[in-house]
Amino acid sequence: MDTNKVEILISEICNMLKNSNAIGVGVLSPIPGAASILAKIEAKDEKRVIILGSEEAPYAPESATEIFDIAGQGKLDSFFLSGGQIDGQANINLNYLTSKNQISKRWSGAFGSSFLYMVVPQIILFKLGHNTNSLVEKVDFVTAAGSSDTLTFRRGGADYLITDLCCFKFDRRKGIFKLKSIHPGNSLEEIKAKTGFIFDYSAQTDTTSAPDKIRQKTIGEKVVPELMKIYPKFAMTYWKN
Amino acid sequence: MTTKFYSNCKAMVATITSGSSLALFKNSVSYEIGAQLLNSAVTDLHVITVPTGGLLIDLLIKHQKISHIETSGVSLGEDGPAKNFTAAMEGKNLIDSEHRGNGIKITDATCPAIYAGLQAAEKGIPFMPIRGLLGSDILQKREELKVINNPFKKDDLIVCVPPIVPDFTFFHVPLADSQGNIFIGSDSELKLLAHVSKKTLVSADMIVETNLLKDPDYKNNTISNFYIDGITETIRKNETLILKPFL
Repeated sequence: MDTNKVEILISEICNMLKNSNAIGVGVLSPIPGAASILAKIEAKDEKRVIILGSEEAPYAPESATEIFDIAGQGKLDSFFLSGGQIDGQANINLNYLTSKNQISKRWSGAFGSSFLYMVVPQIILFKLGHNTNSLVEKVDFVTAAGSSDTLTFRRGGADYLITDLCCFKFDRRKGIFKLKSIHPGNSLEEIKAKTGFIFDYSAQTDTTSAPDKIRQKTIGEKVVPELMKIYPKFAMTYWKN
Repeated sequence: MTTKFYSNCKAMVATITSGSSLALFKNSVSYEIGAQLLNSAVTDLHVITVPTGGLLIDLLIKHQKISHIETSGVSLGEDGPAKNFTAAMEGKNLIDSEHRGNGIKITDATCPAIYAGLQAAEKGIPFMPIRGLLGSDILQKREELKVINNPFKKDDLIVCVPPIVPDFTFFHVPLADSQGNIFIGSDSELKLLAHVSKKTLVSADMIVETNLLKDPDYKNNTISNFYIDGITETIRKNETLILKPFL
């Protein structure tokens, strides 16, 4: 990915956060982190953004359990989750792949996902490396479930899935993703070929909008310096100057 | 209870016995303690990461100190996957690796479930209910996690987590005093760990004579010596340098 693409993802995720007052960002999430910082800056600081891994105000959590406590109470509006695999029903797998009853690939683990997916109203799924191995018909292991029956307490769940190729909106009632927009330079044919699950789409799908000049300036001048403190390697990779 | 003062990290680490359960809070362990643990003869540890682990956990796996890991995740952050952890888990029969285990047994968790287990232990209650987990395969694999109906509401399933009581916990703090009280700063979860662990062993940048519990600047984030079994003084040095021989 180039810097332009990264800034498109940041900008698009920021748009998804406009109605959220309290936003949580988990570990290993530099792009969602950047988008959340941008959302806070554009809202003139009128949002609370907690980034796990940040050690400085205003993004550092008050304690290691704060994010789970406020999420449990319903005070966290949005959170981001990813997965080694994500399937067409929005189930995510952060644990492992199996082959012939053996673990063929192990990932880091669930972190807070099995809890947060159920208690946070808006979950934005995020996956770089859009291909048929990562976006699958059915995950090998359900770390956190994409949908629940009526006996299960759940405040919301998946709202969007954004990848390096496109953005999907999740229809919770039907339990299916619908293609929302295609990033500049990518095509519907490419997305169809690289997606392992069935999704709804229209032949006239929008192109994901790029950030305007003002937003681009905000990212470069205000977001990147904050990101440097939390994700220095990522920030250095995409904004060397 | 009298807090014991150790002359160095090696002497304090020597008190841990093979086969013990050991809770480690994120990256709060002094790497000097970590290095001593890696150097020691201790083995067969049941490590509980609170709630996740990083480089030290990966190295403890590499150097065959761990026989059972209970974790919500092991990762090196921006430095990528924890390769010893992932390698130890791959290629195993699913049933063996998760329930019996010839190599390392893993108990997969999710962060708030680990905190819930510690909180149940802290309050002396048989379980702590938590939201989430329903529909997750983690719940399917973990027989000790039970699903009950909320006794106060019809048709409301909830998961119960049993207490987690570690034999030992190690962590590092900026300041301790000569009475054995320790100042933890903003990591309030360290109180929880100290309250529930059978032995709490602490390394501190500095041990002072002033009683921290009587100092208004420190007392609110100070844990009483009642919960602290051992203290040693060690400056938290450059981590990479100390652990380099073990990489």
